Amino acid sequence: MKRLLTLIMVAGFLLQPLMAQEAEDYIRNIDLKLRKDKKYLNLNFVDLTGTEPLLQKMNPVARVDGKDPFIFKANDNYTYRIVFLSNAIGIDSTVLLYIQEIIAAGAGDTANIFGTNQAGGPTESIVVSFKDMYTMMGSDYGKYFGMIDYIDKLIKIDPEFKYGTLLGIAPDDAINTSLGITSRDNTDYLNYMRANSIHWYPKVAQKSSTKKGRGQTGGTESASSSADFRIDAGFSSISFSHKVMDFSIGAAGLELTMEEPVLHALPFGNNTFGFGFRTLFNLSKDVKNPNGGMVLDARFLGRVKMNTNDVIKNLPFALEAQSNFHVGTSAAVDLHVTRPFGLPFLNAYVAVGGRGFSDPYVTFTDKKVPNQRHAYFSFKQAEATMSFYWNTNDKLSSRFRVDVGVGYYDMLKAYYPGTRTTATKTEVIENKISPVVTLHYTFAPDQNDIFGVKVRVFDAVVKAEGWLKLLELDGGHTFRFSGTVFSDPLGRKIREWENPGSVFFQIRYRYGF
Amino acid sequence: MRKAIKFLLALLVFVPALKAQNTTGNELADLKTLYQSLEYNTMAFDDLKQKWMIDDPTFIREIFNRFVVRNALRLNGRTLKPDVIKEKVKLVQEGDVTIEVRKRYYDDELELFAFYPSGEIGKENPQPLFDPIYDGFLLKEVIGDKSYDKIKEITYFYKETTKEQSYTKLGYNFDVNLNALRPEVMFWNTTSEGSNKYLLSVWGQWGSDKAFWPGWYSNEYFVGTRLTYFKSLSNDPEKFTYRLSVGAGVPSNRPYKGEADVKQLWVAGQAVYAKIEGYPFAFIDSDFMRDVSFSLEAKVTINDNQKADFGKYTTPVDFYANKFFFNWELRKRNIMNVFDFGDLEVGLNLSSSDINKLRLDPASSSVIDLEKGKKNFMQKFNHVISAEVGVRKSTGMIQHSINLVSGYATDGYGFIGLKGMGMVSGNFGLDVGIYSSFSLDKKKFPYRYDTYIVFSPILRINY
Repeated sequence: MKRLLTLIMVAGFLLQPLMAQEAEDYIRNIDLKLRKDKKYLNLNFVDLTGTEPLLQKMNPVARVDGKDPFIFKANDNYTYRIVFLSNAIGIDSTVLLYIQEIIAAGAGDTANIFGTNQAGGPTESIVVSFKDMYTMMGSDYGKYFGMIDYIDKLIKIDPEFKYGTLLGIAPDDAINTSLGITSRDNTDYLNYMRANSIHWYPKVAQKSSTKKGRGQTGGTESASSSADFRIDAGFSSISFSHKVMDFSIGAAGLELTMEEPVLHALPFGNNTFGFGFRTLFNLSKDVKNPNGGMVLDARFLGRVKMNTNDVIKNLPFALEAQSNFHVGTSAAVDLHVTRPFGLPFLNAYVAVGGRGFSDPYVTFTDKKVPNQRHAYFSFKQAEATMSFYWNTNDKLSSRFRVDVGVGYYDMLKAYYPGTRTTATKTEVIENKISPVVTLHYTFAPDQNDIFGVKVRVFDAVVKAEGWLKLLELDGGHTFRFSGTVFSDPLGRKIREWENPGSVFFQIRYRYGF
Repeated sequence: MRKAIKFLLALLVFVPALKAQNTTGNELADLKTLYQSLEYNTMAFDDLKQKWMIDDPTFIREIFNRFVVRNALRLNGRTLKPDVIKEKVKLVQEGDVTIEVRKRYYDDELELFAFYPSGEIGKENPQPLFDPIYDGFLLKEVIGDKSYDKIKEITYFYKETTKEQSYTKLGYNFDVNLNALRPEVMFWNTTSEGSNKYLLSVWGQWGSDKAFWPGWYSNEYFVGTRLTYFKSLSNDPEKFTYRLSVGAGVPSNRPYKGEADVKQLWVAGQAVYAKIEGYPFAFIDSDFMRDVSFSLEAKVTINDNQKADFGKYTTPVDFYANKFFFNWELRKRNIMNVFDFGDLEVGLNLSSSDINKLRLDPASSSVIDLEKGKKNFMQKFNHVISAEVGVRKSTGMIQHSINLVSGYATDGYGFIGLKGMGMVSGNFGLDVGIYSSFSLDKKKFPYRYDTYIVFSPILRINY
């Protein structure tokens, strides 16, 4: 018993200084953090001028560690920032942390005229440290409580009053969602088309609200101004539109194209020359806001027979490129509808041509029948897809789109015995319906389109198209490096009419987009 | 008397000490709380903050030494005696110490620094060598700006332990599941009341695993539309209330032709397909029965191909074709968690499918049934009973479903197989199936393979 008592007594004596050391550690660490951390401190403050009666009543403020008591200067050029903690887990009431003295520029007294205030800015210094404040809480609670009461009353009197904050980070600007976002209106569609289409799409002055997952948000938007005319010109296509072609519920544009959207062919690869126009209809009530409501985007094309095989074979920027089939004179329509009846974005392309087999540009020698040639023709192509868009974050800088659907084409074989240029016999060799999947990616940091790529898989052939912004001159003149690549068929033999793996490069000029 | 005096003496000395100790204890707690409350609280992101282990022995010695020089090592809040530090130094010298570091969420400063004996790494509650430091500025004060910056630069031996964000959620806006064996694109949804959900999708299915006609080896692909109903929203795609699929069979190409001596099944007509799935026992107040699913799947050829539909043949050709199958499945899900690998589930399948032996003869105007008069409709059927046991995990960074399957057919052969599906973050994955036949008489059943291997990559995007 005697020994136990002695032990407890000794422990009691020993524990006291140990705990004091621990408390001293905490006080020093808190003080250090308050001085050094400029970003993460979730603290508030109120600024009071030196003439504030509350401060004058508190004079003098005792300080520890041998410092002289502090006197608040009754001068309007002196501001005292009382820093405190008001909301935190485990903290029930306001805790005063320190007081900072801010001397207005050029208002320093003679004592510091050659001090830190020389540069002309305000001088800031902690005049009552955390340790001083903490000691005050124990030794002069009246003054301590007086300040807390003053701070708390600010909110009680005016519930709208906002304390100043020392928080240097902006969590509201860095909100992350787990899986990115997808828009509930036409934002994703229009963003994609503005970056990737050769036609112009109206912009809205204000970004549409978007939201991940369930729920709806809205936003007020209006169409923004743009250049008088817009042009996208490359080796494979040219588009043009002018402001006079914009109308009340949409816009129109013209197009010349050498491209083939369905069949496996590079630009100049289908032996036609296409031309037509495109119209954009905004079917919503708010016609100035293309982000809301339904938008119908339609291209109408005519394609005339043209010997592009001789062109593509001699283009220096087309590698391994051939044109082994004919599409013939035809008409095509390309429609895009934005989310009708809550469905995904729908795309449809249909091209139908007249069955003309005369004077083929590309013929093959028949291996079975001597002195006979044959040629390939496709008069019908179609594709119907649904588009799904998503973005990796709400900055909309990394944008994805996937198209899923089916494509169709026919392929006919025509036979030309001897030197005849009209077919004596034709047969259908393909009536192909095949799934089509296209994955698109656009990189557009700060709404600035930098890079885009899409990979399309159809009928066991992979087609990749990409562009990269090369330069943007003053006035909105943009140049892009663009390319199209076809693979050999995967998992099956190449057909005679198909082009083998081939590449097409070009530079595109864009203005007014 | 002496005892009483001693007791009083002790009381006089001890009570103030106790009182002082108590007051200091509260103060300590208050100071600790205050210290921990100064920063903007980001505890919800603790597991996502950048985290790594410094295991560069030389760098650890350097840092440790700074702590010693600054007398900054603490254990339970208190400074350490020299002999204790000497003892810990041995661990450092032997390279048996690792440092765990964690960055703040919204900026680049450190918010956790702790020495750990290497043996503690991997334990559920590892015990640090000293008190961890939860303040980068205090750490900077102790080890100096240069060392602090070097820690942040991560230019030494280290192990990254940052958790990658990965969530798997069932998308109700759209769900594009590109899997060659069983694709599905959900394109429309609506809610009629409460938190229910009707989902409409287009789907595809290559062959039928249950009928032992795996995709790749089948020349028929089923496509159609599907209605899925969720009584209440769920993140588990298998927790629907019922699902109804209807479609039709279309001839398909095969990227893999298989063994040359095996006769491929031909598509002999236009087939329609239907499947209904659900949890019909959910109304029974039983945890066991709630997760028992039932499905019925059928393919029916409604229109036989005419001879001309098969193309031109100059010599007689015999071939086999499947026109009907009916699959029944009873599956019990979520039986138990198997070592966090997934939830155990078992399934029992009964499949009936017919085989028709047909001939295309140039001399005949129609397709000839070579078994006409020998077998009636029912006798053409083969019945397969099979059982599956496996685990499924549909949440977390990696989702998977692995099933061992074994079955026996009334034709007198059996098979064993492994079906597996793995997904990373619910976006990329692989679907694989391997089946091996046994007791198979290939002369009797020339359309059967010894081994079936099917697989498909998966790309899934859902919002």
